[in-house]
Amino acid sequence: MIPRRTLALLLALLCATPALGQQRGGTAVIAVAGDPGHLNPAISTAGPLHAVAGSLFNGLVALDEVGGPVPDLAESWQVAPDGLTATFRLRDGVRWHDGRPFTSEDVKVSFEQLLLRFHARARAGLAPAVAAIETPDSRTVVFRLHRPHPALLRQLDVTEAPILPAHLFAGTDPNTNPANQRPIGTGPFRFDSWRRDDQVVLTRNPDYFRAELPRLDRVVFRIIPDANTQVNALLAGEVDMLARVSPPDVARLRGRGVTFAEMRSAPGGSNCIMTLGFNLDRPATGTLALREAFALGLDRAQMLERVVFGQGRVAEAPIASGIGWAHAPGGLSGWRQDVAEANRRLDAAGLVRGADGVRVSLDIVHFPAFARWSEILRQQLAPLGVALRPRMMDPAALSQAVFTRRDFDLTLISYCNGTDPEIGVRRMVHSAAVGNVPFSNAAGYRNAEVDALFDRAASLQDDAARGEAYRAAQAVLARDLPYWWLVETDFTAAWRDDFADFAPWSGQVAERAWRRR
Amino acid sequence: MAGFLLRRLAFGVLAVLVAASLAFVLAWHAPGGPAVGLLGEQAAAGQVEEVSARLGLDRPAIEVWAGWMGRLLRGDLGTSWREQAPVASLILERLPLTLTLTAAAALVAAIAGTLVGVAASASAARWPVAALAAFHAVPSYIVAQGLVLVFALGLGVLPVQGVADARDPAMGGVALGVERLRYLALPVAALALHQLCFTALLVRASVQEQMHLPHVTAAMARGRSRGGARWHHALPNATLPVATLTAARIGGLVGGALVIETAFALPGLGRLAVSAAVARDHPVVICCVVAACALVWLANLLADAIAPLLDPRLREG
Repeated sequence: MIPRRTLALLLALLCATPALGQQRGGTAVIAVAGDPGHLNPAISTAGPLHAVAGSLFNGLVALDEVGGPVPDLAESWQVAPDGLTATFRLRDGVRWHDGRPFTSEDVKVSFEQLLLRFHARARAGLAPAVAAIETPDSRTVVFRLHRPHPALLRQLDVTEAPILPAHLFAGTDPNTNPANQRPIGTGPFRFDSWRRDDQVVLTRNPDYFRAELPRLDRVVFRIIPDANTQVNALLAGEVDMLARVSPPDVARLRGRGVTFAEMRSAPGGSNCIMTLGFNLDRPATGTLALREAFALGLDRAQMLERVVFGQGRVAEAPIASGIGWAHAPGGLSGWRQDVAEANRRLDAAGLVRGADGVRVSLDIVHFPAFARWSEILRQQLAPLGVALRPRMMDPAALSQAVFTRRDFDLTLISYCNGTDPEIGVRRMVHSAAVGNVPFSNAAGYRNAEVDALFDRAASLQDDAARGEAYRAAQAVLARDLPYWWLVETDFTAAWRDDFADFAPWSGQVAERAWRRR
Repeated sequence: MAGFLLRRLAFGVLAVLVAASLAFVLAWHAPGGPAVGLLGEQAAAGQVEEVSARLGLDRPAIEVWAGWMGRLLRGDLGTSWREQAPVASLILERLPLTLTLTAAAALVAAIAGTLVGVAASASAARWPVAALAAFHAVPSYIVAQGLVLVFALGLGVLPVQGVADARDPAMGGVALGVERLRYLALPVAALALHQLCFTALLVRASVQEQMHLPHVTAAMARGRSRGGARWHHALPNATLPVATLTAARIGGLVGGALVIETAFALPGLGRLAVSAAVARDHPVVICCVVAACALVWLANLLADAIAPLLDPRLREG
């Protein structure tokens, strides 16, 4: 007699594990918002490009659902106790889509000739740390570092550091290489065809190193720029998966044969916090009393409900709660909403109201997609006598206005912390990151104590000790308020119930996906 | 006639060059800059300078402009910075779809607009005018959404987006033709509605005016029914301004196609222009403007050429 609990468990496993016959074959159509332009993910960080190229290539490591590194092209690795050497053992028997064997030379060329020179995040995050890349044999790669870089492993997945074939790229100009248009990778799918602004078709790689994968025969990336059209196409069954759905669209899709996945991570971004940045170089926003008034006057719970429809959490600390070991729970709890106190501090700072009730007018620079955020900010700041003038810009224009020209009072940026504060938080607050890298230290914040705490955390290997340093830094940040952290936002992906096991947090979104019928 | 055509040709080339220069000035001063557009917004300052130098954008604007215009006059449209492909081939790939969309919309608007206009001319009431004016005022994007809601999501008879079924690559022959028509039906309808309403209003007014003219009243006096006189005697004279204005408003349709291509995810010239603008791919943006101007100019030339065929009085002048 089988115990009932065991029987239930077996039944659950049977339901959860599809029969082999159901697992193989079929086409999945995935919407992407723009044409990739080219398919070389090592020389650009553009989202549409990576949405497609992630399925064609691999990184040394992959990231699991919570951002932890797991083997990909590297089957194992070892970081020296001093943190200055990382040795990777590469998987045996991996072949490029053109049949050539994958070796350590591919890794060396990818980093030295492509990633550290052209991939914006790898260049900003990895290049300063990497001293040399050695290849003692065809299956071993050694990274020698200038200084310990605890975030290294989490910056080596297919989105942050895709590995490209040395036999096609070594010694070439990667910007004009023909392989950018007909890519050769090691990934689960091979390039098949591309109709510009229409669709990119990939087919199953029968020689993929994970023998049982992929399960789908074809993946079609359908290029649909309009978010509303994407949702309509999903409802009509013309598209099977949307990697990103806005909260209002989630409400529209609910109960319509669609499965949702809410994640803190998506390729190229994870643990994101919608953040209000103050330009500390401007007289008004450089005044601490004004920034304190923002912290006291804004109702972030209302933003969570009305802007993202509850999909996320009010930010509790400058470092996201998803990086648990570095997060400071309750780090911002000293700032409870108190409009009267906010007004008192503004009065005390000499920011008097004019005849129209306005103390100060500030411009706020943001992407068009964040219009709802700036509108609710405008509403909530009006009782404080702060008038906002929104200036909407696309990413390239905003990058220049905020980080190059510093022509703004306030900016709204979704700062993604990444899976380690070294990836996405250091750039926001370290004085070395003022003005030199886009989407870095927008506030122009300089504090030697915070710099020292971040430098100390980066020099340690033990997460517990690193966490202490980060929590101390967060206490200083909560006092100085170079930013006001609004809401931790989640990513929501949606796919038709006919499909299962998409991995929207990963660059390889369809590696494990399969069609039910 | 030859002199007229030569003058029009010279004017057209001049207009296209002016438009290309304006596009160049706008692109040159657009915030963001090509390097950031091409590398992604997270590009570092050093990278931006490297790419700017590689593209030759570190030279004075007037020098870059002169170089581009010189190449354009020689028929060299240049190379896309983003795709490293000849701009001419990128445009030629997209042009047939945009031409089909615009031509089909112009045809539908002319025929349906004429029919609706004649029908509306039978009533002296104000409501047909009010209804047509109201529909004329609805932006194409909203019309597109309405059509999708009814015909794609509601009735499920037409597709939401694209030019063909992504799951069925093997289709060919007649079946493919029919399938393409299905995919174009809603975009053409959405693009045509604005022009259709305009045409209908014009035809209605024109036919009503004709109905009071002696040749029509004489026809009715000879026993023609009012409806017969409307179709056989009033309409032919009323259609001349329709043909001329349909051609003259092709420019508006080309502009509308940009919105419609985005709303229905159609890989036409408009989509190319938008994605190139976002990527700050200046050679492509400028050549898209040139192509759009050339289309409008050609349409106007066609209108001028057709008008004398429709109206003998113009031949004499």
